[in-house]
Amino acid sequence: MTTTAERAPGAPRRGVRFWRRYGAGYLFVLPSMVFFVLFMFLPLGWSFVISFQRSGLAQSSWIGLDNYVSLLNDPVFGQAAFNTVLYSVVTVAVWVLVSMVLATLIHPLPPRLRTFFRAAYYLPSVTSAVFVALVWRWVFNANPWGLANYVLSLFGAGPLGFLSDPSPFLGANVALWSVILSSVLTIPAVGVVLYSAALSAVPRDLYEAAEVEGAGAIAKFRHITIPLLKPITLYVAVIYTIAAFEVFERVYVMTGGGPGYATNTIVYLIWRTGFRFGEYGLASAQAFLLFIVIATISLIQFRALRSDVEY
Amino acid sequence: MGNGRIAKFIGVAASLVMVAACTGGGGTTPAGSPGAPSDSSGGSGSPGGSAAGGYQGPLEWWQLGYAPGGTTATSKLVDDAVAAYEKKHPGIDITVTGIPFSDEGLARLDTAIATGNGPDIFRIASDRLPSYGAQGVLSPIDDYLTAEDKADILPNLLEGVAYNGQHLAWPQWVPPVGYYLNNAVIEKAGAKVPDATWTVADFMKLAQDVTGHGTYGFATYMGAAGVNDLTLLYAEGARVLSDDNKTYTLNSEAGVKGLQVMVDLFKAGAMPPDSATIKLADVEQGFIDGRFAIMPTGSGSIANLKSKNVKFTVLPPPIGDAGKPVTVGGMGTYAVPKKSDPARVAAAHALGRYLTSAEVASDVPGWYLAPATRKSIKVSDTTPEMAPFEAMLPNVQFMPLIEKWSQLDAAIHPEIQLALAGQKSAKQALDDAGAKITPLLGK
Amino acid sequence: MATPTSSGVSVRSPREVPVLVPVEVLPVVGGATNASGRPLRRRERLAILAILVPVAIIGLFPMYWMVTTALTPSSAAIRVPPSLVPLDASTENLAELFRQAPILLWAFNSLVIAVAIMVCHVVFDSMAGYAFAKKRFPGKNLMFLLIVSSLMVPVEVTLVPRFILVTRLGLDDNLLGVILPSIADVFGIFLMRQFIRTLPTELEEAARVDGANEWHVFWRIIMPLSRPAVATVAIFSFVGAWNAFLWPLIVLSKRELLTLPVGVALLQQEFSTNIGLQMAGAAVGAIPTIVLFLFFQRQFLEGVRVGGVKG
Repeated sequence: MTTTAERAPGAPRRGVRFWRRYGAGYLFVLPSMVFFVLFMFLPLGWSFVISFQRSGLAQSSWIGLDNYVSLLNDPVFGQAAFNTVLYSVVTVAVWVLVSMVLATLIHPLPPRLRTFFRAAYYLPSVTSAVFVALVWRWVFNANPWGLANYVLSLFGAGPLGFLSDPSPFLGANVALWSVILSSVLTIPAVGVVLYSAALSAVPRDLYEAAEVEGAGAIAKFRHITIPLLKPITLYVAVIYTIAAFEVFERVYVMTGGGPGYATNTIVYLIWRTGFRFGEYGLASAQAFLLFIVIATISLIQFRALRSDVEY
Repeated sequence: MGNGRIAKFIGVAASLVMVAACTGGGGTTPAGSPGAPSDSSGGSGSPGGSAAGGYQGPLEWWQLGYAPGGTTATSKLVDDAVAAYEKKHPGIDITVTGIPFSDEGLARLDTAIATGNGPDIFRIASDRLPSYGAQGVLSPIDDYLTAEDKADILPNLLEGVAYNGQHLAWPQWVPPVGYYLNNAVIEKAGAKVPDATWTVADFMKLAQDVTGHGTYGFATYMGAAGVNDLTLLYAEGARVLSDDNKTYTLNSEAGVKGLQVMVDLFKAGAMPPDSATIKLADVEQGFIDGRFAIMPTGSGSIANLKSKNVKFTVLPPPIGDAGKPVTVGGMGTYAVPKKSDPARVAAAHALGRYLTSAEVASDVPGWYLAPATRKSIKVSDTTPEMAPFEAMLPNVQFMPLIEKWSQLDAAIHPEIQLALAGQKSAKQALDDAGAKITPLLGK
Repeated sequence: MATPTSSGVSVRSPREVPVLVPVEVLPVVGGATNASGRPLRRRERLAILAILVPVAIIGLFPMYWMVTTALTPSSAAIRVPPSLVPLDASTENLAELFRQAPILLWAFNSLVIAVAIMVCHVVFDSMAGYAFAKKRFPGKNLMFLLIVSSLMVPVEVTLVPRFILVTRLGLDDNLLGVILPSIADVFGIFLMRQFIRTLPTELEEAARVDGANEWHVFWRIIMPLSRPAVATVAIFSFVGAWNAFLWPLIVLSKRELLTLPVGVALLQQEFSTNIGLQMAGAAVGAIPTIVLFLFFQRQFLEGVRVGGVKG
């Protein structure tokens, strides 16, 4: 936009020109932005501000970075962070891989079967997370009459504590791996649908050429499907990562963070610090630390898979 | 760019939203809007113990676990109490709102009170009083306590609402933690139900004797906000904090000994495998089903057990090194937030006194679901099963009344769970809890 | 780039053309074909099904368990070995549920809230998505970035400040208090933006040349073309609003105003030892969203596919 020294008489002034040019854009985003500012950014700002305070609701005092520093030195927070990262890494990796494989398997089926499977996989995610977690808690009951233990008994294995056993296991503990297991046994429906869509856009001649050269199914998958699905993989990985890092209902319903500190996750800690202890300042600090982690990981994922993706 | 079109459109969308609100929102009754402190109706009721003689108008009462027309004991009793009180004080219009019994519900309560939008009176457990006290949002009952009140309320229980030299709420009842024994299960195992003089050794033997065939001798909740699991530590004479609340003392020899009792029982298989994460409701259900022989919990379970026709005996916790029965408990209270209208506050206090008095017991039979805090009320007259709990009242220990109690609680229970699961020794567990607790004290 | 393939049909890259073509309509001869167009061998189809079917069973299992437990009278819930088929199925839990609680009223409240939120999302998100996709104005990218990054902060953090705000506005214990803060919606805006980006600008230009104003262009041209994406936003919004738990729990307390998930959860507190009743509540809460999904499945899966693919 330039400022001209002279203006033709009767020509609109800069302000009006600005409005004419950009006004529509602003007006279209206006309704959404109003609600965003009022109910998202304002509360976020309040949270950010009090993360530098020692705050209950009624009193607060400025303590600068003390909240953040104490968190970084807090072994409970450290363990929760570790649990969250382990949970996310395993879960996201499995979900991305599984959804890619499932979508690839569904793709060549006749249309009726395709729709059937996609619907069957998507159905569970339409129900509330709390209820699903309740069911898993029931399944992983430590008593011999818990379903999972019953299945184990069929193989002659003893009853496992599953969700009540904090014994070390594979770098973490049994309870945490049980939670991860319940997650892994959940079908990544969104990923399946997204990959299905992307697959339909993959040109056939590539596969034909590979077949001519004698490539089998696995080879085709590795060298054609996976690279071509990179853009979608980025999107899927990012949304699943965000969701995994914010895991809460699952832990709240299944274990309550226990036994001991075995299944604490960051968001569970945030909730507990805010709602149980009433320490909203500290809870906000925890939340913003989480935000930094998620944002960083998303950025890394973007860079890693960015090359041929335009967003 | 938009001529009237956009504006028209926004209008349509807005009215859609309005319609939604009108069909569902309806919250324009006094119950819907936060209690307006500027309501200066009524006369100049002077604060000072007189009944709500001067005040006429609405009173807002928030009750945990209440549902209008609901079928639980809480709901029915509250409705009856409101009817009785309004009959005696025409001109007072009480509206009750239920608060869900969850952390979110309590957070909602806290927020409302902190921002001045709270009710005139609300029901709360005594362990939450210190945080309100620190915020200074409650109107102490001291100015409204009559001499008669002071003589009637049990002194050690009145201390249960004390904070910084003031008494913050009307003490209503104390559900002490008693040990429920399932008669059928014990007799089936060929053992005898002990009496109130039983010792910890008796307890351990009994629990192990009745274990087997899908039955566990002892089960307890040991999760957040619980106190049931601490009974065995207190039985040996341990306390969480010293009397002045400045030192952590749970890792004393007594505390370690008490925790070791549970650890030994778990190792011997006398406790269910999911003890570390079992929920309170599941303990009760297991007791009803006959899978658990002994469970420690408050007097509130009596109603449920009776309705399920379970034959049970209630004993005080087994006697340990403390030499006499010791138990723990919380206290239900009615608190009155500060508001700007003194007449209204006085009226709320009058209601609070009513709800914690002998008067309401005669107006609303069965009002007291736990032993009352006043000498004039004998709950066991109407509910005989309460007798053992009433006998325990003089021996009840309250958890320390400090602001950060929930953080202490959150430091203790995970360590108990870890000790039980064999991840660390009892001493280590209690020491580790202390390492987290000590920095929180003396602030 | 358009690539001719051996089957004679060009498959254009998603960038050039809105991918409105349902996957099922892609040229297939006689049913199932693999990636390169060759018909599936029987062996291959069986192998595929051998994987997909068990996965579907695992995925649908929690829902199956929820339903069977709901139909099991409370006296029979704990049995060793746990029975997979409810031998003594009875509707006593359901009857008890309806007797204890105003289920229909709660469903109605949920419906009102979900519809209001859905309508607002559809309209406002499309407007904003259109602006972000097609319009240029200073601060656009910053706004978009802010909106997207708000996803990375867990909702627990903004809960209390939002509640304070809502209370100050006098909207607590009011359906509006649930609706208004939920109108800010990232996914919808993102989805619409992605989709609208793929629409050719010529359409708009043509309309503008013909004298249509901005609103006309949006409402009469863009929106009709965006039907699949709009359908997705509508359904996501509805389901999300219906299943919302935490926020309505905090805002609403009058029993007559509760939504279905919140009411059912409170019931669980009253009947915490009755797993059958809890699952009955869970099942009843899940039914509407399941029904909705089954009816609108096509649009749903369509639009997710479309909106999610890179544009």
